[in-house]
Amino acid sequence: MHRSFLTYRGFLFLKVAGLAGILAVALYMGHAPMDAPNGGTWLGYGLGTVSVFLIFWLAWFGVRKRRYSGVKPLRGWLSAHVYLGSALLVLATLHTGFQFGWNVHTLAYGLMLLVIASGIFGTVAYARLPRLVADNRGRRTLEAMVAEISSLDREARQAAMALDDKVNAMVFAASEKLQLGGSLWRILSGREPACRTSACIAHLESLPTKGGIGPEEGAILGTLVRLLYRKRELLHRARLDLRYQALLDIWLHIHIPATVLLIVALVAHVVAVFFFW
Amino acid sequence: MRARIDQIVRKRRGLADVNERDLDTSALRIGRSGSAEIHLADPRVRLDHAVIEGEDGRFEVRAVGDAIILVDGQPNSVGMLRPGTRVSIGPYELRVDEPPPGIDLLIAVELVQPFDAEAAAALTDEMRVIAHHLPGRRLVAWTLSLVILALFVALPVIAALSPGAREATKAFRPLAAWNSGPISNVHRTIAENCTACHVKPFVQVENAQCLACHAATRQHADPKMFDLSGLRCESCHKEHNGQRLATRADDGFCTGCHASIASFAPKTTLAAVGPFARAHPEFRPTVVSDPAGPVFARVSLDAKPQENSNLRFPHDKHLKREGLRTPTGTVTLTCANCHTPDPSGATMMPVRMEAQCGTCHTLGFERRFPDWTVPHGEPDQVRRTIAGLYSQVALAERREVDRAQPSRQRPGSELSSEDRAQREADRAWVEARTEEAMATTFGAAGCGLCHMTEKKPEGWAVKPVHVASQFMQKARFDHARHTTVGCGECHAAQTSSSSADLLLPGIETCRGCHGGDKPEADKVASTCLSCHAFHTHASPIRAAETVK
Repeated sequence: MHRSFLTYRGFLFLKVAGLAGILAVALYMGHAPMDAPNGGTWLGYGLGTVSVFLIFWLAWFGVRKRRYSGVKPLRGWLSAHVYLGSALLVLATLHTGFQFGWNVHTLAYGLMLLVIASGIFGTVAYARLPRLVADNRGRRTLEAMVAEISSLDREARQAAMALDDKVNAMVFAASEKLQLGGSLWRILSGREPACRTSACIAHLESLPTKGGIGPEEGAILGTLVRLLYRKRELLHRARLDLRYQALLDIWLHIHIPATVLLIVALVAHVVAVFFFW
Repeated sequence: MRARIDQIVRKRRGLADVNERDLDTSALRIGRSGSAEIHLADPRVRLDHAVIEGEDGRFEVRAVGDAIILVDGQPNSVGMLRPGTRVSIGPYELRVDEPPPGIDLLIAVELVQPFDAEAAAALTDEMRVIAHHLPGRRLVAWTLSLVILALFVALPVIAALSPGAREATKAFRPLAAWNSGPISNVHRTIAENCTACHVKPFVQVENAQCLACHAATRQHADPKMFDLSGLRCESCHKEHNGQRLATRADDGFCTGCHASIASFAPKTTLAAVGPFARAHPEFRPTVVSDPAGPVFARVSLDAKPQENSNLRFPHDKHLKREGLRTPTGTVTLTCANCHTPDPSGATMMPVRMEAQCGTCHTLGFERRFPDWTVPHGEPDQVRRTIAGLYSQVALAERREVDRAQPSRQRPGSELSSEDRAQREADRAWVEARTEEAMATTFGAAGCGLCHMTEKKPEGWAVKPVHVASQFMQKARFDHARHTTVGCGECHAAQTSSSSADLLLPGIETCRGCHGGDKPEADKVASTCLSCHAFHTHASPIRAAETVK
């Protein structure tokens, strides 16, 4: 289902975008302006005009998506958005004639690259991550995972009460606060280097297996370790789940503001070019 | 001691259950351990956390090991217990109350900080919604949009419209952000002054701005004959593309009009010109078509024009491989012996009789006096020189005679008839010798060797020499750029026996190396502008003639 926007109508828009790209490259190779290839030749103006309209049309997708009332699926629109957006990379790059500098023109180009790159990221994320999310969750919800972690914690705390203060303190610390999330980077990494549950397991594993432990205490320790293993596994999955959700989300936080900035910079670019024609 | 422990369990709405226990013991151990007298079942309490000891109404609480207890809010390892004392152990509070009779110590125990397991294991929005970790999208977009609009639209527009603002923001250079590329080297002195060229907003740079400096730039053709009003400087000269000013130089630029020039300029005398490699007409050098005038005309090399220079010069005789006998021995001449380049190297200096020919061709005329020469000049001058030389001879003889027979003639007196006769005879002798010498000098062995001479009633005459100062008047040929090519590869001088031969190479010779602007793999690329200039007409472009 998630892939369907990519294969929409037998890659119709991939073909359209590919043709547009090839046509643009062919024209670029063929045209020999008196000066260096740049945005001011007939081809430069042509590619620039097409690119501007394409950018506004692509941005319109965001507006449409918000207004979407669900009567007709937006799959075709999304497919066109993705492929024609990628074609824009070719058209706009050729429009620059590879002339870059510290100016408003390259600023607009850079913002466009940011929008396209984040869009490609989003496309890949939407194509790949849902399957990983499903595999990772295994018919559970994140809430169910957390509930199970909570119940494992309760049992672990109970079991550790009878154990020595160090183990007890570590188990309590591991359950005191759910160690999920944290900084944005932590969420995106899907890891918790200071995981207290892992530290607890490591401590229990380091305990001497023989001597000084009665059979009753040994049985409690065994239970505790099993509880913590299970908890660690669930924590790992929960962190991965948050990572996947964040990856599915993060690119939009770049894609959308960068699009707004791109449009503003594009206006500035056009004003600059024609003000001093 | 007899102690009473009141375990208080709060329920909803503040109601409390009190579980009362009486103990008779020497010490009250407090901890998580099941064996503790005051059993606090919470992971935040140590197995053995603290102990209460004492007698006779004096009791103290003491932390076990490094366990932490708070006595009346203060961390203390030991504290006295009096009615009202509060001891915090983990999440519990132990309050000492006034004991009833028969009881030494009354302690109320209450869990004041229950562990909120639900809160500890709750999924928060900070975990699930990454927007919580990021500045608001709208805030970012709006703020940065305003920054872009301010820096890249508002500020440059103000600077562009107001010289005052431009001056005030000079250090900041707001207009630099609009610069689409580096300006060419020749225009760098005005690079910071955008409005030197960009005068009106949203209007392309006009010719008038160019002509403000380039006033002497010439027209392409005669504006009186041809309508040039549509030509814009900017169409052919492109700025902001780096070090070199881009100038339109492709053949299509020229052949666009010149391939069918008559349809653009019906009054033209120019031939239609297509791409150099296949549709450029044969060269039309300027030659003397009629030596009598002389009349100069451009004649195609196809018409095999001849030189009518009134000179005789067989190149082949001068370029004999075995050499020439000269007064200084046998010399093999090369082109460079006579043809020397001008200081720029582009063209050849005129050949001069004195410098180039004179070494061999001495202008002597009298076998008896080999050092007598005439000047390479007008016949009158030559005649005066010859007559002078013979007069010297005649005078010298007369002096010899006078020395033998000194004259008795007084100054001022008339010559004797004898003397007069003698002088007439001398003058006649000089006249006769001079005529003879003039005939020799201007004859076939003298001037006539190279010049067209003729005897007219009034004397000898040399036909004027006419050589075009420049054969290719519509093009430039730079010899200095062709020094790797031997002279003979273009000029067939070695085999030319007549000065009527026009020793100019035809276009096919050039095409041997030059292939136009889209040359074959083994040809040099050369555009129309490699040989031709654009701004060639004598009249300068005037601002009034520029397009509006």
